[in-house]
Amino acid sequence: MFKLALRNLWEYKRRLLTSGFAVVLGISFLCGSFIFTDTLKGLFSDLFSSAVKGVDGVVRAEEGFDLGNGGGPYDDGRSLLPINIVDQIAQVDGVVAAAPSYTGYAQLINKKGKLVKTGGAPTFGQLWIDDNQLNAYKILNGRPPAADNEIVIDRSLVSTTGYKVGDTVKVNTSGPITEFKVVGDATFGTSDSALGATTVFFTPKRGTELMGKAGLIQTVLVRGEPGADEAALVTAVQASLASTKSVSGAKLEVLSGSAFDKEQQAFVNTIFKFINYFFTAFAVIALFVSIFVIANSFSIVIAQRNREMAMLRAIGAGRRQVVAATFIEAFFVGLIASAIGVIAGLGVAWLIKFGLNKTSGSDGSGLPSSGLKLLPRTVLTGLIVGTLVTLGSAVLPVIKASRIKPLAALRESSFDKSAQSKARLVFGALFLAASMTMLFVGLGGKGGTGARNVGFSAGLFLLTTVLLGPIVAKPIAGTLGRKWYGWIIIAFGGVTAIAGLAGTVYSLTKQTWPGVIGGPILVLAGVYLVRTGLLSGSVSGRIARENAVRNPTRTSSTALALTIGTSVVCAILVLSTSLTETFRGALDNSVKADYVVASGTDFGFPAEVDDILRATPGVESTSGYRTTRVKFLLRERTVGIVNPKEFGSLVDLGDVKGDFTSLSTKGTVAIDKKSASDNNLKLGDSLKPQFTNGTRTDLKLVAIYDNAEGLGNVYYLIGNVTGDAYVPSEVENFLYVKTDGKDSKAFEKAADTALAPFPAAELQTKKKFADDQIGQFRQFLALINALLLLAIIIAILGIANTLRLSIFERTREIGLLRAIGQSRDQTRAMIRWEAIVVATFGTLLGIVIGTGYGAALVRVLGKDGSVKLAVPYPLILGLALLASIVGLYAARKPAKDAAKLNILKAIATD
Amino acid sequence: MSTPLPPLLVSNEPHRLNSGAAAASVRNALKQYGVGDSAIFALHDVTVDFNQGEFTAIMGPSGSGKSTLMHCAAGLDDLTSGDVLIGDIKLSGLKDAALTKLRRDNVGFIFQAFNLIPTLNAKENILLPMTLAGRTPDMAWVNTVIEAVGLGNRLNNRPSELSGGQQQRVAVARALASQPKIIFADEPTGNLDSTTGAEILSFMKRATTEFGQTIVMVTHDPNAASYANRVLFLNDGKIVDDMRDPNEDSVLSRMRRFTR
Repeated sequence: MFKLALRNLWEYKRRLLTSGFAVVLGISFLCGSFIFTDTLKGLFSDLFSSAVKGVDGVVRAEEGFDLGNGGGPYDDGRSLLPINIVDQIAQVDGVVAAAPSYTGYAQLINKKGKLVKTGGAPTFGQLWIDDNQLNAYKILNGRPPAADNEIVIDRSLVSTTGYKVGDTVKVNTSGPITEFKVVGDATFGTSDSALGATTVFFTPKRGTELMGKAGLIQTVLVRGEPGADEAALVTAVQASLASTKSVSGAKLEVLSGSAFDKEQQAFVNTIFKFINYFFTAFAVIALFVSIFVIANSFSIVIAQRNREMAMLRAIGAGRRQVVAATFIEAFFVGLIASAIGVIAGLGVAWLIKFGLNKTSGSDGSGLPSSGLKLLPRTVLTGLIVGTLVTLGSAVLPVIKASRIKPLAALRESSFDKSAQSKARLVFGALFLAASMTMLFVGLGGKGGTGARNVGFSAGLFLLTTVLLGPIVAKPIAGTLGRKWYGWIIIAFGGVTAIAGLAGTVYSLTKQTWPGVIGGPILVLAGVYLVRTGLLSGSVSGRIARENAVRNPTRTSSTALALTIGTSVVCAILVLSTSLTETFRGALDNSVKADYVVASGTDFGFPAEVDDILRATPGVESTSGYRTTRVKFLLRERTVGIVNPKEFGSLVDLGDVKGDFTSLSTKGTVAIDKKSASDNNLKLGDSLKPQFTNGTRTDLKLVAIYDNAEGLGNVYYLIGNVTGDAYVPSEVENFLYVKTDGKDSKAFEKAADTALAPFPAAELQTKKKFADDQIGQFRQFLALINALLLLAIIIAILGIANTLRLSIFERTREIGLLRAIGQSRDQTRAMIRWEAIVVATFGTLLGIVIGTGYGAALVRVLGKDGSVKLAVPYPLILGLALLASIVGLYAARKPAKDAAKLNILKAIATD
Repeated sequence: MSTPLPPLLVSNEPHRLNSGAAAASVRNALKQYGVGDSAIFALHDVTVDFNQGEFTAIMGPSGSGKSTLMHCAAGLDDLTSGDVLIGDIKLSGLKDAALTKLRRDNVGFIFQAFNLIPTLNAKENILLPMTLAGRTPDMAWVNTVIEAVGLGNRLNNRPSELSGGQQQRVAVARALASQPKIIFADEPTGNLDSTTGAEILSFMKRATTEFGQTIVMVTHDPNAASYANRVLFLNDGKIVDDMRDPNEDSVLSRMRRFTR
């Protein structure tokens, strides 16, 4: 039997290749995401480690105020230390070198006068450290900054801006924009930048002046004797600082170098948790979808070998032996394919890295190059999962096959009756009932629990689809195979062809190669679609339709790969569209300003922009908006600081109880209605929050407003008089601007001229502002694209596989059709039409499930009215039409093979 | 099974072809497999005319080239050298598209088994060559054929719901329905019991005598050959005998000479 299994492997190698390929695909995605995250994580850890390699100790203030996201990447909430503490520490026995460190905001302005963009990575300013073991950066050209008008920039800035040593450049900081002379460039270890963040180095004096307060630093880096005990050094430094406090009076803490390294690594790990989730989810879906393709191909291969098995049984092979033979076969296919999958995973990881570099590195700030990290864990997981999945996929069909009575199998059975099986119906109905129950429970619930129940229901529903799919496959695919859908495909094909043609012509004139290649492909796809659609009403189309519903179980399980992918994509689409549209709606409703000045930096823009814009002709009112954090009622909260006189006319706060403008009195606060009732607060009450500088003060509640929609999650507002008193700042995060609306062109021109000296301030229309704010949801888009692509690849593979096997079964039929006058063209179109019908069936099912569950999730999450349902109909329609192209590509090879069949041999096939 | 066949119409129908002219002809046909010493000739300089309105049977031992002759004459296979004409169309050099068109317009086929598309019902199967060609069938004629083969009440059944004899009747009806110049039948009764086979054969014979249809049938059954009005005997790729108005005995005795 073992020998037979191996012989079978060889005999059916082509068919098994397809099943095997499904395994390869699933495993390569699984391993690829592992390898990618491992590689990236290793890279980050190494970089962070090497950056602190020479550091034996770190001195800083004890943890202060948790700024949440308010502090951004530049402020960890710890209070500052006077710079002279460095000299004090340098005196300590065992300290070889001590250096001041401050990481703040500094952004280079490029030759066009615009801020250098990093695609989300921070733009750091740092103090140059002369001790080259404490400094993670090394000078490549030039020298360190010696005078206050000199800086060193990292190599990534050299390559993105074109500035080089000797040039004079402008740097935007939290202070004024200042001109500097570049005296050197530096690398971070061997990398041009610290993972895409740009860095500008100042002298300690100038750096602290520009980024914070002159003479105040965040940390002191300490280096001891080589090989000396870190703990002893820490104790010595601690002792010397016993009576020293930070500027706000906080105690100082001393960290050993290794503890500091650990802290950095922990930070890396938290970043990677999310990335890991993302890619693991991706891999799991890939694997799940692959299981269908694998199971499907195995069941078909085994169905085709029923006769052979029956023959074996007839000549005396036991059931167990037959099953064992297939198991051995599946084991080898699984193992070999998984091994190839692991190797292919390296390619996938490389592609992800390449893709990320391409998309995020528009200005060269991509990921540093390095080898891929293949951990033993990845190899083992890939091999075990792949082999087990393959074995699992082979179980059902083999056991089913072994139950067939030897003689029954020797007879022909080309029509599948399993769709009508009672067990299938009963279990399907049970799962459906369970799923619907969970859905109702979920819809009745709230927030996370509700969403989890809805998700659980979705899982059950997918199982229901597996069971009941064959029952709906017949009517749905049967309806799709008709002429009306043919007309849709003809129309879509026509549009595709014209778009392709236009794209080609356009690309030829512009000489951009993607269009020159993509255009003709679209034209071809369009022509094929039209050709296939035209056939739909003819007898060949009729046969194709009949073939699609001939074996509903097979059709449905083939289509399921696409169903799963599409449903996940649709659910995410509905969810993200609802979120963004709700957000946009809230902004539209509540923001009465025509323009918003947003910052092109993480840091905001100078507050004087407010005065400048207010003086611009056409402007009626303006209000700056910045946030800070306070500790209040045991929790830390974000507080918005506004111009009370005008904010009310710029942002709709709904009904306001009390007087909002009295916020212009120092020591007042306004909160929203819900927070007021939650905390039992009424007008005139006194709140006692603590500000970031440590001050605790009384604030009188002077206004309660109704509508906090336009403010995000900010429910506390104070006037700028109060804000400036406790958290003074020269910077605003946003500026709302209302104009008289008479001549928007003139206003925009005047404003642009006025704002030219402030590259950090970007004037945006309300719509553009909303678009930009929604940009934060763009990760969704990347996820959708990746999932869609994956679903499409696997679906094409699965459909092609099924088609090829079906054609193999119908060789004689195709031979006959050809003999009595079906042209090759008609044969090809027939196969294509079948594929399009199957693909569309799967996609439609997925769209219904995905949209339904997306809507259910929105309902649960948006119960308090915070999210309103919005369905992106055009996108979903596009998805439905995309199915026809999926079908077209899946049918490419099978159709070609079918048309090339030798008629005589085909007819002679038994 | 042996429902009597309804009488065929006596034909002064316009589609009746003039007897005597060749519906198809094969000229100096050579079909060679392999080259040099190992070359095998499936057909060795065969020249033959299939006359209009004639029912020709091709016989011979296995390997004699009878099937090859039929396949080449029908345009399913090509010759190494020589010509095949169907009507006045020369087959050699025709591309697949042209051959397909020729087949669906001018040639009918009846195979031994698996003649029908399982997803189409009997009537759709009968009309298939014409619907593939996008031609409007001559329904009066189609109905005549359907009535003649006695399928009246089974037209909406799928092949799986028909008996072997009924399936073969559908196949014959399909071949006749498109009024081809010539019908090729490959062991059409090979899978049927003798009574059913006899019905199919007598129907085929009447199609030639009464509709003027040209039929070429490959068979190894002397009884089947006896329904033809001409029997060609092939051996080693050559026509070795051409018998007119055969009966079962004469065919049988001719066949015996091969085995001797």
